[in-house]
Amino acid sequence: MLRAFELHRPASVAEASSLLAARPDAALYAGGTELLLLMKAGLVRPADVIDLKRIPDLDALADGADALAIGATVTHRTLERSPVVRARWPLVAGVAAHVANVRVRNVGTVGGNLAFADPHSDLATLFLVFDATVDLASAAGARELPLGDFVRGPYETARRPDEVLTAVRLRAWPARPVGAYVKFGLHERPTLGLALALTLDRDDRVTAARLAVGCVSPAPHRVEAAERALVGQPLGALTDEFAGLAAAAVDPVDDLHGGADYKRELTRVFARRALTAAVTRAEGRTPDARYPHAIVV
Amino acid sequence: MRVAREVALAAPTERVWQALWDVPRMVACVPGCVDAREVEPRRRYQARMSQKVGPIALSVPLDIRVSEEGPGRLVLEARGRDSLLAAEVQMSVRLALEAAEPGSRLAVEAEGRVLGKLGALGASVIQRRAEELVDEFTTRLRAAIGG
Repeated sequence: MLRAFELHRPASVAEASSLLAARPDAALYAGGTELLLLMKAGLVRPADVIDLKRIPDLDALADGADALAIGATVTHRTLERSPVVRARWPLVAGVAAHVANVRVRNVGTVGGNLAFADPHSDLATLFLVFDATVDLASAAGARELPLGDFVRGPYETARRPDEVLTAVRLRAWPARPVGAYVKFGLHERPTLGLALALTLDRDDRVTAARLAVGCVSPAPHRVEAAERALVGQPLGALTDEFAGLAAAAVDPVDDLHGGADYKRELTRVFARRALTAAVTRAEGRTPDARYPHAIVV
Repeated sequence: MRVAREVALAAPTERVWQALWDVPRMVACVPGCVDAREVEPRRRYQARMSQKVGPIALSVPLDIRVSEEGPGRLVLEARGRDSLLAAEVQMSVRLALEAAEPGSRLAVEAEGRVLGKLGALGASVIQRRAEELVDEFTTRLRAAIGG
């Protein structure tokens, strides 16, 4: 049951921020797929709810030459269906199409997902391989933070009480990129999410690699040791040494998704599978491997 | 949830033991713990424990019992309920103190359960918060007894 609260509908980010400054315990509403569950369960009882969905331009998608700016109230569904995102950022559109379920994707927003910082977020993991930054705005001014610094841990971010997350910016990869996102889980939220991006030179040698692992550590993170193991290697000779490095870098604990050892092994297996998918893509084919309870994007 | 830590302290066991029984000082070492009250000396205490994880704030009035007290050994059982969140917290903390270089060694072992809808947060979140609390406790304890 929802308890009574006062609903505020600011028309600008500045207005939202001043409302927040005056009511530090207010909850920000950008889709409600997480917030309303907590409110109905009585775990969060805000006296004030600030609806960000009516702020013009906060739902804008802007594709520049080397970056994609996604407004905070862009829904997963918009991202999934946008012709520009599908054409130029296919991995992003593909992952958006597999966030939770269609009811969540229709109303859930990118900004809400990142700001809630659920440790099982697909986007927070995927965006790390695009060197994402988030835009935060308040009456005191605007700032830009790397996504890796923004998400601090489960449900915790670097957002100050009077700040509003207004957009996330993804950077395009250099020439000849291939990427893959794999997720595994038996529950509504994934047990593991893993994003891999490689850039190749003309001789199919890896010039840059990015690997992000989510769900199995307190916050999604890049695995630089594993990335280094790939750089300079010819595509055909990639070993799974990097999968072992990925598994060594995670920090899992036991929970209903599985034991810590199991999650570490899952990371190793899916790092290798992500690599297989990326190599297949680099060879001009569509990855067609199917794994139980897993999605390969 | 289970957390086990060992800390080496410069202070001798007598001083650490004395500090452990200095209730206001000990309470100040536990992050989020306030309003400690003695109900029965060396047997029963009450305190309020507040924690915030993301948007969820928990505040539990704890009933704390000293269930074992031996030389260098202390076992506390704490339980309480946040009526607003319908969450129940049960905790058992074992402290073992012995002489060791440079002065003494304190082993802290905490085991606990959080019951109710708060379980939706996930065991891993609760486990990690418990680890942070024990680590912060040992850090503050070391500062409070001067090493």
